[in-house]
Amino acid sequence: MMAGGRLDIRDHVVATLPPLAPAAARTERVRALCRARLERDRRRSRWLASISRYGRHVVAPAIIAALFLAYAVDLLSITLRTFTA
Amino acid sequence: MDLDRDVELELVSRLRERFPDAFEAVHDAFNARLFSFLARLANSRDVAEDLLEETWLRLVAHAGRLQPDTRLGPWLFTVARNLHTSYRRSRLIADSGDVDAVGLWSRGAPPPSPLEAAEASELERRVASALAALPTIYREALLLAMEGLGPSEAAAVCGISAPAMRQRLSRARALLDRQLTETDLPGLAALKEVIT
Repeated sequence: MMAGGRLDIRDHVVATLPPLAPAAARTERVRALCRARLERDRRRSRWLASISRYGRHVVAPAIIAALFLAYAVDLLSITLRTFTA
Repeated sequence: MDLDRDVELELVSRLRERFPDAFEAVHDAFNARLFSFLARLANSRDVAEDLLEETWLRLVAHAGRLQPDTRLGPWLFTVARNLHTSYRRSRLIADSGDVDAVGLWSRGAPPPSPLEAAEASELERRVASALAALPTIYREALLLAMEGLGPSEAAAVCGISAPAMRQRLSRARALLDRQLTETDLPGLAALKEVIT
């Protein structure tokens, strides 16, 4: 940083520039648009999460159970064939 | 930045879950500041409003992917600054401020007395003119400092190192000082000549 007190004064002068305000109508429009998009995204992510939860808790166990059942039936049929031959 | 860090972390957490109330809080905290930054960076209210809208839409689009420890101020100013850079590239805007065409003056309440109003208006006009005439890299450094970003945060926003940002800020202050000194004498046209 530069030395001397003038920097502080100059910074102060710049900092005293009045804040600029965007047009209120457009601000509200953008705010509403963003709110709507967030709500839509939130609903979508909840829907995807529920599908994912359903997949984890219902579909995956059902597939595993079906495979186990097929394996067990096959094993049983092989065993029966072996002992009846 | 103004937001308390704990509050900011909570807001980020809720933004990641896309809660609209978190967005409202962030919008309230940063909308005017981002607009001031963009308006003075672009020297145009209309461009600033377009870029501001895009900044908020980017936040909404990326809300679910924010890091839990995101600093919202630097994140938003980085997006705003990058959008302005893209805009300038796309429009090939000359790196100088045409203050007469800017129309940036505040629409807020006037100062108490006519004399104070005239003095304040003249001072503001001179400072704003000097700021608008700075090259963009120096103007953005000053504007980020005005918005309360520290050198390391401002450096991250501009994609440079902290020492480079300090140097840029120092140079910006020197240029602004020269311009403010010169505005007392020959006027803005001569100031632009000094800068370029």
